Amino acid sequence: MTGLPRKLLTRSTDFILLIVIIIVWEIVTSGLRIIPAYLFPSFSQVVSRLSSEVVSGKVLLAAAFSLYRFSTSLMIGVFGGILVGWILGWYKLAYRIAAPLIYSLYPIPMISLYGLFIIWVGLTDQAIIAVGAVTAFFQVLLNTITGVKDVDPILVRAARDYGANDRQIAVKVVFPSAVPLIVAGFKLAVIGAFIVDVTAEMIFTPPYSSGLGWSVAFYAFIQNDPAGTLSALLVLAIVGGVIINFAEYLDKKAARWRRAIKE
Amino acid sequence: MIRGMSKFFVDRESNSPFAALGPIDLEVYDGEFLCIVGASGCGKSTLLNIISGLEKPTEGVIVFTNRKTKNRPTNLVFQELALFPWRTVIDNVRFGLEIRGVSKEESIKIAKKYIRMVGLEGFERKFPYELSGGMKQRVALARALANDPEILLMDEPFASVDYQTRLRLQSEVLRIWETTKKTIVFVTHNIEEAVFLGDRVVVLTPRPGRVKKTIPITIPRPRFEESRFKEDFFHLCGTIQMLLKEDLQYSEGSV
Amino acid sequence: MNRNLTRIPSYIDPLGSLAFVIVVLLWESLSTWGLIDVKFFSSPSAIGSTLYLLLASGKLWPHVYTTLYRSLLAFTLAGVLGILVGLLMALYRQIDRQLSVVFGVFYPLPKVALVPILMLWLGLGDAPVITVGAISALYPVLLNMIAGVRRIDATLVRAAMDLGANYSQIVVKVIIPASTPAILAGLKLAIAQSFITVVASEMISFAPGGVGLGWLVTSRGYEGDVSTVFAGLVSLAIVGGSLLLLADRFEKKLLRWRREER
Repeated sequence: MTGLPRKLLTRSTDFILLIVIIIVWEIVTSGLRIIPAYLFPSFSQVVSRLSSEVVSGKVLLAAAFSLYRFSTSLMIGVFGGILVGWILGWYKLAYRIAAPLIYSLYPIPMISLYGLFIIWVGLTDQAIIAVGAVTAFFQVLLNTITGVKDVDPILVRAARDYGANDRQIAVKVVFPSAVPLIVAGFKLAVIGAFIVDVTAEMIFTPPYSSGLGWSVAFYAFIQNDPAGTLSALLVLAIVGGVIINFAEYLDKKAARWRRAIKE
Repeated sequence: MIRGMSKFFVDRESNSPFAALGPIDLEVYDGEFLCIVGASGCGKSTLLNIISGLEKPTEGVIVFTNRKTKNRPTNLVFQELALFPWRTVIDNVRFGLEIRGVSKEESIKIAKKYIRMVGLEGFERKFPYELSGGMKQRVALARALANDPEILLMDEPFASVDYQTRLRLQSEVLRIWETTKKTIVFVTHNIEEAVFLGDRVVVLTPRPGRVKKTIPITIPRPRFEESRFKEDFFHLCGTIQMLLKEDLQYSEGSV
Repeated sequence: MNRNLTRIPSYIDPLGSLAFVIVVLLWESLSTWGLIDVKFFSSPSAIGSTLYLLLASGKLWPHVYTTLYRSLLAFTLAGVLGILVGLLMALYRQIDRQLSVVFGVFYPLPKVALVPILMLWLGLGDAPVITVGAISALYPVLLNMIAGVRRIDATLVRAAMDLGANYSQIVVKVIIPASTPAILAGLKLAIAQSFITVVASEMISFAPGGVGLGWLVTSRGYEGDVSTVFAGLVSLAIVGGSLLLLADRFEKKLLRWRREER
C-alpha cells in the first residue's frame, strides 16, 4: 500500500479481489436473496440508483454545496494558518505566549467545536464552514510554525554573512525552506477540512437542503433508504478520492522540492 | 587434531552477463588464518558470501571436508556488523544458540564465555547504541564465535574503526585465533593488516575476481607490534602491493 | 509531520502559563462586567462550576466512560488487525496488491459517513461507533507496519540467516522487533484517529438520551447550553491529552534501545 492513494493501477490483476467481493455482494443480495434488499441493496441496485441521481442532477447539486463549503473553509483556514503560523514561528515571544493555547487545543477533535459554533451562528452554512476553517487553520498553523522555526540555522547565518537583512532572510531563506512543510500542512488541512465538513453536514440533518454528507445522513436517518445512502457514499468516496489525490500530488511535488533544497 | 580441507570452485554472474567472480579454485586448510586482499570491487565480499552460503555460485561448488557438526559450517562477521539493536550484548551473542534451541542457561553460559574472550566482560546488558565502534566489533566477533563455526569468515570487519583501535583489534583477533584454533578467512583491502594477520595471503584481481597469487607469509608467530617494522614484513607488503598495482591500471582509469 | 510541536514538552514555560492565566482572567472579567454576552461565550467560572456539578453529580462520568471505552476498543481492534494484516501484506506481494486496492477504495471516504448506514444495519448502540472508529484507526497501523517492514536493514536479515535462522524465526526474531518503532508510531496515530472518529460518530447519532462526549457537546450545543459545551470541550481535551500522553510514555518505554548515537 505504499503510495497507495496516488499510484495508478500498475496491473489490472490487482483488482481481482475487489471484483470478487463485488460479485459475491451481488450474488448474496440479489441472486440468492440471503440478505433482504431493503436492508442491504445489491451492487446493481446501488449503481442504478446512483445513475438516476446523477442524471437528475442531485449529485451535482450536492457536490456543489459541499465543495463550496469545503473550499471556503480551506481558503480561510490556510490563509489564516500561514499568516499566524509565520508570526508565531518567527517571533519567539509570540510563540511562547500562544503555545499553551495551542497545546491545550491540540487533543480536542476539531469537529467537536461544531457544538460551539452552533450556538454562535446557528445551524447554518457558516457553522460548517467555520469548523472546516478551524481544522484547516490548525493543521497549517502547526506545520507553518515548524517550517519557520526549523530553518537550518546555518543557512540563516550564511545569509546574514552576506549582509541580508531580516526581510531578505525571511523571503529568500526562511520561506523557501518552509514551503515544503507548509504544503504538507496544506495536504493535512485538505483532508481534515473535507472530513470535518462532511461530518458537520451530517449533524442535525433537516435544516440543510443539500450537500454530500447531508445526503448520506438524509437517506439513512430520514428516509431509511439504504440504496440511496450507499449511492451517496459512493459519490462521497469518489469526490474525496479526487480531492485527496490532488492534495497528495501537491505534497509529493513539494517533497521533491525539499530534497532539492537540502542539497 | 582434525585435518580439514575445503575446496572452492566459484563462478558467478549477475544480471547482465558479466562474470563478477571466477573461476576460482581455492583451498583453505584447517586451522589456518587465510587473508584475502584485493581492491574494492574485485568481489572479495561476494566470495565470502558464497562461502557462507548466503549467495549461490553460478557454477561450481563449495566443499567442506571432515565436518564436525551438522550445523552451518561457517559464520560471518559482517562489514556493517549487523548487531540487532533491540537486543543486549549477551542476547546478541547468544542469538545463534537460541536459534538452534540451546537452553537459555546453557546459551547464557556459552555467551558469557565468549564475551569474556573478546574482553567485554561487564557489558553483557548494554545495548549496541551504548557501545563504541570497537566494542561493537567485538560483540559481532563474539556472536560469530559463540556458534563455534568450523570456519570463521570476516568481511573487512575493521574498516570502520579508527587506526589505533584497528591495530588493537588485530592483535585481539590473533589472540583469539590462537586460543580457539579456528580456521579464519579474513577479507581486507588493507595490505599491512593481511600480512600481519595471515598465514597465507590470497591476492584477488578485479573483474573478474580471480586468484592472482597466493603468498605464504613467512613471518614467525607469535607476531607482535614490532613484527611490523621488520624487513620481511615490508618485503611481503611490497610484493603484494606490486601485484595489486598491476591490476589497478586496468580497472578504473588512473586516478 | 508535526513531530516537533507535538512532542510533549518536558518543561512548563512560565511566560506561556502566565499568558494563559491572563487570558482566562480577562475572559472572566469581561463576562462579569457584561462586556461579552454570556449566552454566547460563558465564563471560566460558569464553565468551572458546570464542570464541577457534572462531575459531582456523576452525570459526566457515563459520557467520559463511553467515549473512552469506545475509543480504546476501536483502537485495540484496529491495532491487532492492522499489525497482522500489515505483516501479511509486507511479506507477501500478492496479498499486498489485492488488499491495497480494496483498502484504497475506502481510504478517501470519511469513515464517519459510514455511521448512518451502519446504524440502519446494527442499531443505535456502540457497534456502529466502534466499527467506524476501528476502520479509521486501521489505516495508520497498516501503513506504518508495511513501511516499517520494508525499511528494515537487509543486513540484519542476512545476519540472522548466517546464524542459522529459518523463515519463521526470521519473522519472529528479526522482522517484528526491527519494525517495532514503526508499529508504535502507527499505534500512536491510531489512538488519536480512533478517538477523533469516535467523538465525531457520537456527534452524528443525535438521538436524545444518547451517551458520549461527542453527543454531549452537540446536543447541548443544539440547546444553547454554552457552559456545558465548554465543559465538554475541556473534558475532551483532558481525555484526549491523557491518551496521547500515555501513548507517548508507552512508546518511550518500549524503545529504550532506540536512542541513536549522534
